[in-house]
Amino acid sequence: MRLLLVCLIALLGIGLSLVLGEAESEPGVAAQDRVARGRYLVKSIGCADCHSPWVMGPNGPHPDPDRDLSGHPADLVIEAPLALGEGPWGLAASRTMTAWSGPWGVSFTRNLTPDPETGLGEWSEDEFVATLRNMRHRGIGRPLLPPMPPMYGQNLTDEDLKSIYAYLRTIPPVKNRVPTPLPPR
Amino acid sequence: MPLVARNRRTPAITLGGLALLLAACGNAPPPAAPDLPARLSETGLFEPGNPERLAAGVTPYAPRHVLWSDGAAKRRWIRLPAGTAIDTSDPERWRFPVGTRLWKEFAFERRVETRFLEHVAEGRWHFATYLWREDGKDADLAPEAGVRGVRESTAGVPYDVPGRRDCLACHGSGLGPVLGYSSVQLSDTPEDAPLARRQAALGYLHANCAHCHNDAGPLRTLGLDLRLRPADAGAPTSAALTTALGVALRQGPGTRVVPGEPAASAVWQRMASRLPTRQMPPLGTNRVHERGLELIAEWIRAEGRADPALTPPTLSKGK
Ligand code: HEC
Ligand code: HEC
Ligand code: HEC
Repeated sequence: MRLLLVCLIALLGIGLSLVLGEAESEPGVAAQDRVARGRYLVKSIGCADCHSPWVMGPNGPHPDPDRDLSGHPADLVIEAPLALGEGPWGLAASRTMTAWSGPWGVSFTRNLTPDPETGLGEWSEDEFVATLRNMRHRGIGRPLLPPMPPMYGQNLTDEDLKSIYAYLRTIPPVKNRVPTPLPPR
Repeated sequence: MPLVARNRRTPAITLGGLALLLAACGNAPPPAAPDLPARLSETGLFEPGNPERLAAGVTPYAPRHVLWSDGAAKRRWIRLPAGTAIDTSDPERWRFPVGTRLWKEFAFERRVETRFLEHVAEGRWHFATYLWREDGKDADLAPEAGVRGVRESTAGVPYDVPGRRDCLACHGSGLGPVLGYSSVQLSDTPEDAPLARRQAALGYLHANCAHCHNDAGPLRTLGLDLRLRPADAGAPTSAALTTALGVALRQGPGTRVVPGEPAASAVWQRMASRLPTRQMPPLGTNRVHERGLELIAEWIRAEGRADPALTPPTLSKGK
């Protein structure tokens, strides 16, 4: 339950950090500036809150730096959504913060590393931008499930989204095939 | 895993109060709407004050293979500016003069929406859809995000009007912007040609899938090309055959089409599903197209026989 609270607070935090991130697009930004800007955005928005598996450390839980942004770990098998029943609780997260059970079934955060087979390696910049803008898988497929926030695509400029993409190309690839979402009960 | 779930309502959409909550947190203004006419009557489709009379220069047409939209009855029209012509020198990609307009009407008993495509400047197209008023006298520009459940396509299944970004998912992904007015779509090869069964199936996949599944758009890395080309005529070299028959899925176990076995073929399975995370196409439909599914099943069975192409067709064209 404590983790659940943590994530709800994290979700609120995302909204706040976005308000701060409203930069204007700058044409012709050098590639390395883009990577630096992307890193800044990814670190401050906190994509790792959901896209990196959390582990327990001496100072409490934290995203695992060795599996940075590699999504829900394939070896943590989840077979069905949690039955929440009546009451105020609306969703639950795995201890890793990478699997989310709610009225939509179970969603698993995707592997954002550049691994060609299991991550975003094959994705074009356009596809990445369209995914966040349209909130659809690969930009044109099924609607993305919660809790992937729609605000990024609504607020960030093209330059910001391209910067995030540029930064994600530079992180170490991690081979981890994230399962497809599970339907509701 | 439940592969077949028919007529199931999108849970993420009906139940996703949380999704709404998250979306509400964003509260960003939508991107500035282009300068779109506020009413259908201003697009020049019909004569002022009379939706029953087409304006001069507006011509009806019907593509050979049509998109399934939960059974909507459709009518389509095109208007080219006076004195202009379509450049058809590349049969795979016709070039339309600036000023070209196309309309497509969707009706369930009564008119529901009319979609509009206009070539406003070289390479720039506007997309809009108009919702018909109850009295049928005119239609008004639909909101940018579309409208869920404006009507039911059949009892209990809502019909959704797509948002403007959705238009681009189909019209801006490699084949577009114009999808149904092309050499393949307007060709008049006779229905009883020997390749008719395969041709009908490939035509179905072209009209319902190829706007996303092609070799030019954002999904090209998937390597599934369901586009029918003017020269194909159902030949074994058709991209849909070479990239689907016996080809393993890109993601996860399975095969795109197992000749002879519809139920083991991902193409059939995903067409038979309306689970939001499985269904194909992923948008523009909430209801399985039974006749289309049967057409594809017949074709997959035929591909498992000795002489698939020459087996005579038994099915009429899909709706
Ligand atoms: C609150 C949790 C959360 C946060 C924060 C978050 N995501 Fe996600 N994201 C998800 C979930 C869950 C999915 C899977 C959704 C699905 O499968 O439909 C997802 C999916 C995605 C996808 C879609 C991949 C695909 O296969 O279509 C991309 C891209 C993505 N996230 C990028 C980002 C980026 C970039 C950030 C930070 C700017 C971010 N996410 C922050 C939860 C989150
Ligand atoms: C699911 C994919 C899909 C979506 C979403 C979609 N269309 Fe289309 N549209 C097609 C296909 C395929 C055709 C051609 C086949 C047909 O007419 O049956 C077509 C045809 C049309 C035509 C006739 C001209 C042409 O391209 O053939 C117009 C006008 C049109 N669409 C407008 C729109 C508008 C405006 C939107 C958004 C509000 C939209 N469409 C959304 C797939 C789509
Ligand atoms: C609006 C775009 C769109 C349309 C239209 C569409 N698809 Fe897809 N399709 C996708 C996306 C995105 C993926 C990749 C993600 C996934 O598997 O869901 C995909 C994946 C697939 C796959 C899995 C391919 C593989 O090798 O992993 C099959 C099979 C498929 N589609 C069949 C179809 C069929 C059949 C149709 C038409 C009846 C169709 N699709 C129409 C967007 C579309």
